[in-house]
Amino acid sequence: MVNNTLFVGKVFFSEKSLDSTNQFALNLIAKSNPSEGTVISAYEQRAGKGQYGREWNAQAGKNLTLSIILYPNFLQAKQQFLLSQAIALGVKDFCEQILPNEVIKIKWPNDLFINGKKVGGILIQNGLRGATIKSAVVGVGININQMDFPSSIPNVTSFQKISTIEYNLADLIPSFCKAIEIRYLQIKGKNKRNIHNEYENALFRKEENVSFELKDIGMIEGVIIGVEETGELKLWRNNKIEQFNLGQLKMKI
Amino acid sequence: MDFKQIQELIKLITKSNLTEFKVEDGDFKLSIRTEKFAGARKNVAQASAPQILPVQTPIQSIPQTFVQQAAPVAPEPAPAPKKEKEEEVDDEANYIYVKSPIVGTFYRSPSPDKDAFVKVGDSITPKTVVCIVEAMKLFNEIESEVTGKIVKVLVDDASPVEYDQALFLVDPKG
Repeated sequence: MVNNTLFVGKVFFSEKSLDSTNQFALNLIAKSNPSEGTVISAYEQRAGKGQYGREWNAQAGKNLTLSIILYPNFLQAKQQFLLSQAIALGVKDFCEQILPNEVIKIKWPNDLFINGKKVGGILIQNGLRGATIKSAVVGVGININQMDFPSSIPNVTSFQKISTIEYNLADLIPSFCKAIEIRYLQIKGKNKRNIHNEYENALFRKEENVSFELKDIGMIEGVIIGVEETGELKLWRNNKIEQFNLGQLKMKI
Repeated sequence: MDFKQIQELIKLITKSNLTEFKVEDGDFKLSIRTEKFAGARKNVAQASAPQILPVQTPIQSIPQTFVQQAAPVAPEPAPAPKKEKEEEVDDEANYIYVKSPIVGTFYRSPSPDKDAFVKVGDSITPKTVVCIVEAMKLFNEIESEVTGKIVKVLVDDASPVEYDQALFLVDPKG
């Protein structure tokens, strides 16, 4: 249990081995009424989830792999990108507390990058009924002490690779929970606009000319200028602003 | 004409105001009629995909492979005798929809290797998860708001959906 927060981490499941913390959280929601802020952490994740079916492989005991149960029913379904932005900023805040001298950015839409390399990812699974978000399971994976990564995943790093310090995972959890809670309360309150602006300012390679692979078209270039409220990336291209969906566009790092 | 081209044609015709389309190329013949042709009610016509009706003339001349390939696009069996067809249209007027609450990508199963959440003939209630709509790496499990039996899945797996687009046709009496 976490002591420095209002609700995030007050109920805490610390599991030895799970298929995925998100799945455990979804099962909790299906079977019981877990309180808001319930956190599930796993020493080992056997089938960590990335984007639809893509696996997120983390070495056992080396990284933070946890899920948070939230009930953002103050958001309309179409406003859900705000939740993604708030969580990404929360994870960024946490990384900055631990590694204050590094450049930490959010790669659109919600991967965490330190010094140009991926250090973490977020997977949010909402339960919707009509236009209401009934529940949200926020899964976060952050590479902490892992030193070796498969060569199939280039451009990846961890806290220890950057600082050469080995971290005690349990010691990191309270500040992680606190960072997420602060950002979540901002979108619950009146700071929605600030979240959007801060997210845009934290975008990896913002205001740079970046190459992308555009589906069915090929390579394109554009300057990242921000995002729509629903999350589409805004690029300055051919002397005008163009918007792109996640399925269409792949950033070339 | 290959399967891809036929798919493209169907998309174009669905978007257009056409009620019927015929093409002949050698001994290949294709005729597509939309719901509007059948004089179905507006609300039904809007959401439903066009049906491919086999042409009366030499069906045998259509290469066998085409007939098999076309099946997923037109899961409907050959049109029933006229009288029954009318009854079916009457029924459809009483059908209801499960619609998408957001813009995104429609998935029928929790992950690519898993079974679909629901299939035609399944009964659903306001707690049944019927699909996932993904937007910007946010995965939304959509619960039904209605009770009934799934009559038709209106969107292909992994295809884009618009806000308020009909996803499932549901018979509330089912």
